[in-house]
Amino acid sequence: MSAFTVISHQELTGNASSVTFGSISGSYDHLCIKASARSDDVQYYDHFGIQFNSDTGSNYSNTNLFAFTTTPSSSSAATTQIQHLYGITAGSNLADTFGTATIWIPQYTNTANFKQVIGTGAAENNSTTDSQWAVSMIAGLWSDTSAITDIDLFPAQGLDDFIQYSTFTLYGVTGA
Amino acid sequence: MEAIATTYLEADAASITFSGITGTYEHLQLAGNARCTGTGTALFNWQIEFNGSAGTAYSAHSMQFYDTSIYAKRSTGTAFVTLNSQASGDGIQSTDYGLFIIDILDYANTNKNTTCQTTSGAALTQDAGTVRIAFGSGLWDNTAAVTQIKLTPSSGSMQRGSEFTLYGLKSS
Repeated sequence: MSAFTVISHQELTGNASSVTFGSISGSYDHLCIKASARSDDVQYYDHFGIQFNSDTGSNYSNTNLFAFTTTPSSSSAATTQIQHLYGITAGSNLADTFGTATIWIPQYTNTANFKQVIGTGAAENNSTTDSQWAVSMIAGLWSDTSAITDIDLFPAQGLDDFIQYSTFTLYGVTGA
Repeated sequence: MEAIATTYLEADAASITFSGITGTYEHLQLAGNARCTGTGTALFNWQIEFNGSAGTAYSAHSMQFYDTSIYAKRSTGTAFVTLNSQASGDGIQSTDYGLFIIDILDYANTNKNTTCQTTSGAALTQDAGTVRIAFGSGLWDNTAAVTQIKLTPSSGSMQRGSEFTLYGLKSS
């Protein structure tokens, strides 16, 4: 049976351009992040950027499935950053409404493989108008065999911030 | 992750309610394996209500795969969060129960409206044309801490054998 251990929890007391989980030990099998976040971008939703071990190079790929109209869409990109998980509400959204995201990083210490990410996110709103809400899923790849010891999360749509009360919980998951 | 409560239906029931939820946790997760007595071979909806508040303060959005089709659904101004089409009707093989996982993040934070993620599916032994898988979200436009969660099928009652477990995830 799997067990979730809290590695770190952060609730923002003010705006912040990013959130970092550092010095992650290799004690677990998998990592799981649960986030309840909103940015100050002047949009209805924003998307997560995710980087590992401070690698800002074009060493990431992602495939996305998302909807913000009645017709879902998909996209993919290579040699880029991991992003496009629409799990953040933004400044134009209903007040006090925060996005939801769950991000899994399985086998994050396995140095034989590149690192995979799978995530789900939603930017809820009290609107049925196209592009004022979003739901999405992402499969991401970091093309590096290093064990993950640091994770940076940031709003990736613009040069904006996570706002106060956004919360981020990093769990270590073990199972045997 | 800790189990807060499990409900297994020994008999059909109009709805189930988890109440008295404390603020001990950071996140909640509700997992269900259930069907309803709604008539026919359709997949009916689940309706999620928080804190006994009906009103019109709920919204929901989802993307769904139905047989070979894909589409998104959205609603607002409703009396519940709609979790679309994962409750097997009585015309579907009796052993086939739909399933769902609902994540309610930061549910006790009174600076936030309640938002949730929903992942659900129904793979059926027969009637392949009605199978669905969906990912979506829900909103309750209210900043109260969630202390009660009620689930109701959109048609008929919850059927005997349905099971639901509420988990809590801590932040320290």
